[in-house]
Amino acid sequence: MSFQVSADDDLVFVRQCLRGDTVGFRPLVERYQKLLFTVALRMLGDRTQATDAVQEAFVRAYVHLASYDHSHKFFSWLYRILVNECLNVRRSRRPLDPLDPELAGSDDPQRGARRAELRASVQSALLRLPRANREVVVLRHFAEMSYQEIAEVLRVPEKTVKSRLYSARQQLGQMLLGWKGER
Amino acid sequence: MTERADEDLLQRALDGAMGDAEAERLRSRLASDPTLRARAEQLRRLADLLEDQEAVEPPPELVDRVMAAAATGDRATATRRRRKLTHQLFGLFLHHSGQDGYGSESPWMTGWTGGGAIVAKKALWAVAGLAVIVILAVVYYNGTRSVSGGAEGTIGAADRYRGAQPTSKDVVAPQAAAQQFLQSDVFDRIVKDKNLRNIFTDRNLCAMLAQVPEEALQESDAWLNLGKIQTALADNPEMLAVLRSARARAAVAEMENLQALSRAAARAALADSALMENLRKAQAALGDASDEEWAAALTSKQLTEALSPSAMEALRAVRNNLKFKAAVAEDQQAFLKVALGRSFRSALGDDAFLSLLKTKNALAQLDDPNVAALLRSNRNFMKLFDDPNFTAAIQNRQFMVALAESESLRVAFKARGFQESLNRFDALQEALRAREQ
Repeated sequence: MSFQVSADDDLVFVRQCLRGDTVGFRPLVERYQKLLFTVALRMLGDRTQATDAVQEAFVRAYVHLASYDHSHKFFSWLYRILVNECLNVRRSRRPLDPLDPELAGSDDPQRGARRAELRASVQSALLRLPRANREVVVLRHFAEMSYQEIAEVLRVPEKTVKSRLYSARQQLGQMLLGWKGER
Repeated sequence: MTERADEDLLQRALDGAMGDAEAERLRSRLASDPTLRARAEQLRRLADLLEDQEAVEPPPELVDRVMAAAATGDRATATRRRRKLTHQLFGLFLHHSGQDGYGSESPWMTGWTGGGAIVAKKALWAVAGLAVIVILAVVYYNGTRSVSGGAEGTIGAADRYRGAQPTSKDVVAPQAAAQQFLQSDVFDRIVKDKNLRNIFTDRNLCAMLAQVPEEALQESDAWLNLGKIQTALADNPEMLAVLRSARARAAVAEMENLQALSRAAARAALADSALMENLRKAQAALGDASDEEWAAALTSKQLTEALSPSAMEALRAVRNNLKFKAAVAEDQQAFLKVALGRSFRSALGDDAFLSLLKTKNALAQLDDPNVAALLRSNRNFMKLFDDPNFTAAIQNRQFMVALAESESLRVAFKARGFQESLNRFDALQEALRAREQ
């Protein structure tokens, strides 16, 4: 799985939209929907909520396109909007929402109960990470971004990205594999 | 335990962020260090777990849904502006606890937010009702038809419910919650109500929405919880009665009220989770009020002033005081009675009193356990607040300044003797009367 996190013609489509041509937004949606959906799903753990968050993020981006600072990558801006949407969703959802069955894998016992259980554990552990740490893990492992790309999207130094990744892995290791203490 | 440099190498190896020379160095280190090999194995197992997660695909209809919503958003600037208002008012009315850090337990907030109006409890009830009216109207107008209508809007409202179901083009995301509400029995009752339809087509309302300044329409992403409005209305016949009243219709024509609602502080205050319950209590306490009283309350400048940013800021500081909240929580009924009292509200609308509330000394008073105990245990103290003589006294600016700046007064308030004197309320009242004469 590999995602495109920026393209030279992003700005071309953005300007097309700003001229009032809605059609110019479609390539941008098609280009980034999978990446945003992957991120939202791993951040939220629920397919319906992830879909809503992504859709709302795109619509917000479109409505507020005039405020997009062209000196930053379009995806970086879009990503920030998505994160806000995910936070809204998390604030509003019920505390005992069940884990998405697709993510948990529990709807398919034939594939192996152990594997499904592990997947559910991983997603559950992800959701228990602090948001900042969860973000870097999702962007690195599920969106397959480089340190540099993550740093740009999150607008933090690469050093911070590495530090958060280290912390996140330690926390995941402790939750999933029984690692002990700080290294 | 691995060295920091080795750990950094392992992490970067895991992330594919390593040059050839570093890779060679790592290989060499791994060959000679079993601890490092064990750590590398740990990290590999974790990476395997993460990579074993299923790849996910977005719903195939997502692109079309986004484009439909974007197209709807692009139809007209005016529509977009009204949609912003919808967002904002949804946030005002529906966004319950948490976001502003207030917490959710503030059963006495009704009195505070309504302070300063002639009959602020009435006004608050109506304001909440107005928010719903405006929300519904804006949702409707954003849906399928132009705003310019007269009677055709009325027909449209009914048609909308009976005829085609809302689509992604009708209502901006999240459609699911909006559709659920639009298809509900509650909405059915609302749109079939003649008076309400008249409200929706009210020219004053349309004109007002068109004039709301852009800067007043910022913020609030909390409008997503549309289902809560359904819940709020479903069990609330009083609210529906307000919605149907001609008085509410007259009130929406008041730009002043809408501007007050647009303030972030007012939204935050009205977003309290216990608001609906308190509004219900307030409504029950109202009894029958005349149209003139309603009109006076709703058009009162005091209402707007009570919702002003400075007033809200001051009240928020008090409200956030945990001890004060605890004290109030002990006897909510008594406090509600006082808070809804005319004199107390009037005092809250006074600049000097608000200034006092903002001072450190005043907050220190509220932090004091003695004061908290006093509030909790002494009904006479509660009555005192509702006494017009006392209100007159505390509205005196000099008294307020003295109160705010005087350490000795602060000490006096905490003194047992002062508390005991409050227990002899009759005598105090007598003294106040004597002062007037």
